Amino acid sequence: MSDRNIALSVKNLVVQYYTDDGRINAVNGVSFDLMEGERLGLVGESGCGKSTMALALMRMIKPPGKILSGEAWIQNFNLYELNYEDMRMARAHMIGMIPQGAMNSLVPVLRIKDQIMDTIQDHKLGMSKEQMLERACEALESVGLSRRVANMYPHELSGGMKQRVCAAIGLAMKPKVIIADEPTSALDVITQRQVMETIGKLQDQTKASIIMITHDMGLMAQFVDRVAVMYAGKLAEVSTVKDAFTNPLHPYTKLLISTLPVLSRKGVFVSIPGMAPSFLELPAGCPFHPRCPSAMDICTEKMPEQITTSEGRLVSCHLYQA
Amino acid sequence: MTVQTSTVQPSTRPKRTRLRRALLYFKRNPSLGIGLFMLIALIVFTIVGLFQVDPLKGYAGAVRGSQPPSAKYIFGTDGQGRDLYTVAVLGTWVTLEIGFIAAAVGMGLGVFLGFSSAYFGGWVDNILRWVIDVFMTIPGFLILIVLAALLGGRVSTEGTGLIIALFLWAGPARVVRSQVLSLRERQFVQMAKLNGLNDMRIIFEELFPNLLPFLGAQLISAVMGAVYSSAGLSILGLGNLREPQLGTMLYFMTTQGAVVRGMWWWVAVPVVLLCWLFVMLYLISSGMDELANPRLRRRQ
Amino acid sequence: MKLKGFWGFFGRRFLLFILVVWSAVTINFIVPRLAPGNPIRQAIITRYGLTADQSVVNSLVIYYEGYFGLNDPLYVQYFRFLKNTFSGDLGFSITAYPRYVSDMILEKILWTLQLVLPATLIASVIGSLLGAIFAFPRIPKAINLVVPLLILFSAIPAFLAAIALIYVFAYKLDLFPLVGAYDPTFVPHIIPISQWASLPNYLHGPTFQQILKHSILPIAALAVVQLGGWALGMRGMMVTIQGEDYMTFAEAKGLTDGRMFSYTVRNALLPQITGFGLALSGALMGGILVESIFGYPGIGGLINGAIAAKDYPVIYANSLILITMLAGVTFVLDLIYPLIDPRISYSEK
Ligand SMILES: Nc1ncnc2c1ncn2[C@@H]1O[C@H](COP(=O)(O)OP(=O)(O)OP(=O)(O)O)[C@@H](O)[C@H]1O
Ligand SMILES: [Mg+2]
Repeated sequence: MSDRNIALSVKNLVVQYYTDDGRINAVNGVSFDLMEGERLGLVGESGCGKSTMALALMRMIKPPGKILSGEAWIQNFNLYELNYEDMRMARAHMIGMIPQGAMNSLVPVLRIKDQIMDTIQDHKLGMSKEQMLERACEALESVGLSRRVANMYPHELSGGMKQRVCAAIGLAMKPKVIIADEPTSALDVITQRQVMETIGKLQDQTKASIIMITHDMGLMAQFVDRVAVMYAGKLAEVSTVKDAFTNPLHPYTKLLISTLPVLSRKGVFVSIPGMAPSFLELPAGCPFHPRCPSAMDICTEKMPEQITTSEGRLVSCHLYQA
Repeated sequence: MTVQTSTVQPSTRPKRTRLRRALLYFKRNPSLGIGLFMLIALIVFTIVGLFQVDPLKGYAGAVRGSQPPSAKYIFGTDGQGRDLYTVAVLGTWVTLEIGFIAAAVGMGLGVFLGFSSAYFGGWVDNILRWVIDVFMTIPGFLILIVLAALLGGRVSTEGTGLIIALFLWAGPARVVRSQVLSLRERQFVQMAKLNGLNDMRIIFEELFPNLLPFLGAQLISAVMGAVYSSAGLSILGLGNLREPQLGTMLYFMTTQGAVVRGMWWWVAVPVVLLCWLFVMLYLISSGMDELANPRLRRRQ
Repeated sequence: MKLKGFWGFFGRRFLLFILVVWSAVTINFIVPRLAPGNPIRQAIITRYGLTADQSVVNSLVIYYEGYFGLNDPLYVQYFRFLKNTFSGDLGFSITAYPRYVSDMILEKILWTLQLVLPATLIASVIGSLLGAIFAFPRIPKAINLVVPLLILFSAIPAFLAAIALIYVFAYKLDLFPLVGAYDPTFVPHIIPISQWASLPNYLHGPTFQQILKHSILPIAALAVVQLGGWALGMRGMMVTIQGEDYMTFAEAKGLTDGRMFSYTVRNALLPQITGFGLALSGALMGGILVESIFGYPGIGGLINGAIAAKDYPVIYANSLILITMLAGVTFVLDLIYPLIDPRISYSEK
């Protein structure tokens, strides 16, 4: 894997929200590299900071949130050092987003073609109106939609079609890095699969990398190359899909894998013991230790460093500290 | 935007005293803070005033008319010989009283009908929904004019309040109805129902604590509507023209040409006090609305 | 596709419209019967006294006893009342006999609309514009200082604004006339529309000038109190829209601030239309009171005069016509809104 080039390199990203009851670091020191053409899956319990991280990578955190520190390198730009206008141009062009769009991600009062053409126009490609329209239609065709869709309003489309349109818009500018936050969670299983295939195909064509956030471990196992497991704003483990499923390192990953339904244990619901953590009352040391079956004394005192194993896996756990 | 690469601060949760929290809350919800402050100021003004005024001087002919403000009459007197300071102290509360009678009766009716509508469902709900819709579409003030015109000057303060109440219940009824229906679907009510408890009792016990700020906001805006209606009726000469109310002052002030006679104090007293009331009620009501359903937390 | 469910929607709205009008008529039927005595006869006698031409008094009394049919059983009276009302016969004025009430209202309503419509239009345009500007990205925070002022305006009723405006601009500064629709000595050009009613000739320069000069303050009073509502409503809607998923996605598409702003405005502006019916209704109520303060010859002036003279038929008819008009406006707005806004369809709810 390390023979490929790095597409996105995130270093020590910290995002903070100010709430009534205090500040919470919803993303708390995340570092990882995304390779060119790679598909990285991001999993974790609800509220662990996945969407926050996705927005932070687009530099779209709004008050009361704030990116406290961190770097995000694409090629040789650090996104957080770009000026406002350059960052705007970078969006969709260098780093694009596919939203969880089935219901509400398209502007209801505009025709589909206008929503695509506006994107192209605002990136100053110097195209004529006809060229932009042609490009918009091509984008729709590339996700398997007919050109007629261009003239429609969002409310005239089905959920699956909307999601395809979102993918078409998100990929229209051929970004280097694509962030997809639960892109299919509102769709039925068949449509899910079709949309994922479409996204995968387009991604292959443009050689983009993708960060895919999802709760669907099955989809994850089939679609992505590597899995990043997030817990309370930190990455617990980043491993290839195969390693994560067959030989998980972090106790949290192990538990996560063991909760997956297996036919031989039909009828038994397994869940991770203990409560999902509250950012306001994070325990000292490793945030996972209250629920961790292999917790040691040191886990209650010291936050483990993120280390890279010899196989190139990332893990933050005292079990593996040198 | 620049990003400091400072060391990561641990999440902190500062302890705050109750008072500080309240003050912080008013900072985020200034409407409520300022509105309540205006109310307190009004109460203080009234209490101080009550020690100084003679209620009889609020009636026509009690003092020398058309006197500008002076040491003797600090707000001056109107063209008919009322002491405007007395009117200000007493009339403001009479005006509010009509508002509260109307709003309380209207709210009571609204809560009852809204609850019944949701409770009985079926055709009762269907009919009540139409009635609510009709009453929300009819501009009540137009009917009030007809009613008041027929009843002539025979309406007392309480009577005016009751008539106004007839057109205030529909809004609260609609709100309560939809709240009960949505509470009914909530998990804890469903659970209680499975446990064989009376769901309506639960809703009733759950509903009111939950709805209190909301009903409060509705009540205050109903008061505002009632004060508006009663002042409006007064302007048309349909109010109670004997009692020293602010609306009555407006009526005499406009019909007797206070403006062209240059008696600015006669103009100013009712106008300023009514503005005070309206702004105060508006702020408290929108502050309570905010309390009932806070918008997304704003900056810090 | 868009029209799916149109007839059901239309039916429900139309039924509501009918019910509103019917309720108003019915209330107008019941109320006089609850009042002690026979208020109409009372009013006629009070108006004309015992000394006046008894033939007028008698013909009025007879006419109204016929009109209301006070000796018939109640349900007969009621159906006759309904029939008369829906066939447009609103009766004679007591004080201005033999003028038809409907003629009087027709003549006056134009004056009222001439205040209320411009005021509502001006306030909605300026207010929405202000509200949109508040939500412009990276606007100087100083503009937020205007908000308390707008809140102040939206809390205050038009009649108080009217008094303040008269005092300052008409009395102190003497920029505008104090009362009325024309200067006292001015003879306007009028166009008769029936034997008993006439309208001003707007095309006649001096008449138009007079009307304009006398309308500015009342319009200002009616507009200024609405301004805050429109602006705050628009700002609230802009903020809501800015929080929508599609705006997050729009930002992720790398659109310019200007484009994002125009997206927000387009989405926020349409729902403002639904506020129009309510605003108009508020302005009309406010207009009645503002007119009585300005001594303006519209519906408000008519009602005011009718109240002073106890001319009940005029008061009823005004109330009925205004209610019908407002319910009609609401009905039409409800009906066309889904056509304008692609987000809303008739089949909803
Ligand atoms: N605008 C906000 N203001 C305050 N706190 C926020 C805000 N947005 C998110 N948070 C908090 O940040 C934490 C992370 O939220 P985030 O939406 O990133 O979770 P997530 O992993 O995407 O969850 P899910 O799987 O449910 O989508 C949560 O505890 C949430 O309460
Ligand atoms: Mg999320």
